[in-house]
Amino acid sequence: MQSPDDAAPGQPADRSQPGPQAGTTAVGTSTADAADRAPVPEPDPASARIPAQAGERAPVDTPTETAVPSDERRSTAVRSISALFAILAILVTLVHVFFVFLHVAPSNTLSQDYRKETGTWVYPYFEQNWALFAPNPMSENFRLQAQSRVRNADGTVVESGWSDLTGDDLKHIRGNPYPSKADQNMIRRAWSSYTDAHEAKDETAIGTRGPLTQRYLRRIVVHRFQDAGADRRLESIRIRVATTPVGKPGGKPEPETAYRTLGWWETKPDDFR
Amino acid sequence: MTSAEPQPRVAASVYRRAEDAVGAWLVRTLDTVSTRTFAVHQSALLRIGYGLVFLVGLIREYFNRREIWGDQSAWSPDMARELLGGIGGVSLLLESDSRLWFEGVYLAAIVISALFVLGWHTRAMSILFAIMVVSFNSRSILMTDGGDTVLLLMAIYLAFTACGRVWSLDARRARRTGIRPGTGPGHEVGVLVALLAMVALGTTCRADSWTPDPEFSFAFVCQWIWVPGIAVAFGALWRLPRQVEQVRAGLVTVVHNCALFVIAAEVCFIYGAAGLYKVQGSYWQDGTAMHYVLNLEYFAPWPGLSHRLAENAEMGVLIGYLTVFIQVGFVFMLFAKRVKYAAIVVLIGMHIGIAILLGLPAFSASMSVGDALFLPTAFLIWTRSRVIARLTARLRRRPAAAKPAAAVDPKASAPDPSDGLEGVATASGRA
Repeated sequence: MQSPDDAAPGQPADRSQPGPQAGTTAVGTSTADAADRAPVPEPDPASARIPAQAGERAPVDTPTETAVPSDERRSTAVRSISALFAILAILVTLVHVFFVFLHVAPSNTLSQDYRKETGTWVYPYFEQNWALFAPNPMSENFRLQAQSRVRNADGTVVESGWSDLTGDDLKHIRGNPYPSKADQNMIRRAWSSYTDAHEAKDETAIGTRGPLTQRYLRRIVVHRFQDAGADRRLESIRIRVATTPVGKPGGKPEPETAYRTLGWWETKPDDFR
Repeated sequence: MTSAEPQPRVAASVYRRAEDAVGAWLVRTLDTVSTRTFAVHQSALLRIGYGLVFLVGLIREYFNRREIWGDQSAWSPDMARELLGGIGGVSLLLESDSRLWFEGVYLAAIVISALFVLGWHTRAMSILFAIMVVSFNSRSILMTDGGDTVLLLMAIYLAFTACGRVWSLDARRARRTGIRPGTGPGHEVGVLVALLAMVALGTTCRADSWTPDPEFSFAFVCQWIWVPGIAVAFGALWRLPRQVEQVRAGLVTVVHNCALFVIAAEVCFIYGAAGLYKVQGSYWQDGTAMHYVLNLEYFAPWPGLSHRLAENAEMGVLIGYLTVFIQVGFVFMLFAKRVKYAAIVVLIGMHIGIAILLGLPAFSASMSVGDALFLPTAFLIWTRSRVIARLTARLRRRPAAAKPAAAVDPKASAPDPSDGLEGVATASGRA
């Protein structure tokens, strides 16, 4: 918020003075302008209050007039050109709103007919998806867990137990009024983008995003192991995701945890920080 | 033709009158939208709100910045480029992989958001702000959530609005010097900042080649707008013929009004779509949705509280249904004043709940700022004057505390130290 401080010494703005003013307010302004040298005028208690009437404007609330006042006389030529621009702007606005609507609305015949045009207009700046906790909120919690294989100097390979990476995130989120993106979004979205791009039964990639999402997941895990003290001898990692249904209200029957275990992924040199 | 056949003449005159009426209406409307700047206070509030959301986010993630957007990110710059290549995305952060560049852009983003909130050369700042928001979003798309998307959209739309006409350093400067927004002498600093903004825009969004892509889209506009942009910015150094000034002002006004319409439509789309998707869900219909939402571990900073609330089935049904009704009906409620304000109050309550219970304060703040667009001007001014009155009243009670409080005020940057206290004191006399 701005503070009203146009009372500071300076040339009083000729045209930027607010128009009609209510009694106390106008008095305050003119005293302030005149009181360049004089000590601060003692404001009377009544005027120190908020404007009695909502909407009564202090100068600070009066918008700046532009170099061209809105009520200035304009020639027919100027008005015509302005009108042309206005029509153009309104058309672009309607086109934009139309495409965003098609993009945002649940898939329908119209949005399928205009799929290509919508994509051209909307990507990359106006992409959006408002299926928030919808159609249904997730009915299960997942925990991404990982284990590592480290090759020692003598050639032996040591396999670690499962460490709960989601559990670490949750520790940071709990009790935090403003959780970090790194805890709340990183693994959550990395996993959902992986599952979008991979077949659940045999982990084969669907579409072109497969390798990219797999690499992202691998790098996240490698970085987490690095944070826990692993170095470049970390040879490969394996991920499993434990899914526990929230369960129906009432808590019965006791939900059972299911596991989806991915294969061993070898680390690449540039996976490390 | 004058009096021969009465019947066709009556028909013609009715037709003529209708035509005249439509024509007059059209002319009046086109005149109005290109001379009258609508919702000046609301757009200023949006500027302050969204600027703060981004600024606070950057400061909050300062110690995680390298992990989220920087050199230590699991989403490496090359991966980001690969993904963005497919959708034509851009990011200033991907211009260079050096640590120095990253830190520089991060600092610049903080400074730009702060200046945007304060409204210093607002138009140029709003363009730079949009560039920064786009850049951080695109750099790590898989780090974003709904709140980031709202912020991204609004940052782009705000660049088209005149959101610095009130409650800004620009407005203060105009009051003090009498130099109004426009062209001619006195706008040199503004021109310089505008040129900087155009260079940043050209750098961020530039096309791969100099052959223009024939496919017209917003991305295409972003790629080339800096060329006329530089010319326009330079042109502002001179006073232009009055008629050119008038056309320019008309264009600025109509673009502002259209952008505000788009922002309003966007808020309605968000609620409408969120509601329509929920209507399709069985959990929202049988009233158990809140039970599931409150049991999601990633959205439970206070699990004890969430679980206790989730156990209350009646409350869950009530809140679930209320959410869906308000979201689906939001656009219709806007047309009835009293219902509209009730809806906004309920929505803001909902957002406070989401912020605390689900640990999504940035998302909630972004949505609440969007709702504020529909608040009446008188209410905004009343609130503003109350806030300032409280602040200054406290200041006068403890004059010793003037220094730290003045730092919150944009006036702290005023060259004359003596006007600090004086300004505050007189302001309280007025406000």
